[in-house]
Amino acid sequence: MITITMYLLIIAIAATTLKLLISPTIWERILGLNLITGKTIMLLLLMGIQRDNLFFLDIALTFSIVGFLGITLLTRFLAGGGRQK
Amino acid sequence: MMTAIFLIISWVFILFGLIGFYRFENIYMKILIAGKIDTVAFFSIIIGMIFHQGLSPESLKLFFILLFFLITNPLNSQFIGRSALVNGIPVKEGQPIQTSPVGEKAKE
Repeated sequence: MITITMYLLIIAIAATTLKLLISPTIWERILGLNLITGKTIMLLLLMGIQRDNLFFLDIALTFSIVGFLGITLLTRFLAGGGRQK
Repeated sequence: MMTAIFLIISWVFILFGLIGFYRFENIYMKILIAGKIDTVAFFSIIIGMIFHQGLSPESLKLFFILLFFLITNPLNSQFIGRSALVNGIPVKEGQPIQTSPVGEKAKE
């Protein structure tokens, strides 16, 4: 059951990346990045539970912190006007 | 048994998120996907895993990850929507933007 969810997550990540490359504006791309970050956290968790290894959960927590910071700073840069200054 | 139910629920939400991300063309409709549907999929996966693990340090750690993600994911969606609105993307076509600029643009 867990492996089926992992395959579904991998397909969802691939589809989101495809859409992310096509979309014109930068905000859809950041949104795609946000979705992919969430889905990789799910993938990490399922891998950790499947292997009965506690370290994957720490990796997932660290990854979500870093992902959150990255997107916050990126949108802060964009909201301030980006590079057209 | 319970983990199977919650994992199937998460499948449904992952698929809905994917379909929504492809179908909607307005950026603010897509932010709904990231803010809500992705978070609910995450929620059901975590609850399924907590049932799978029972009472153990892993389920405590899972709960902390769930708590953190529930706070940060909607925040991320808010930041993206905010930056899109400030940079002039109208929520509905032809509607003027009523928002205060932020950061360097505010100083102009």
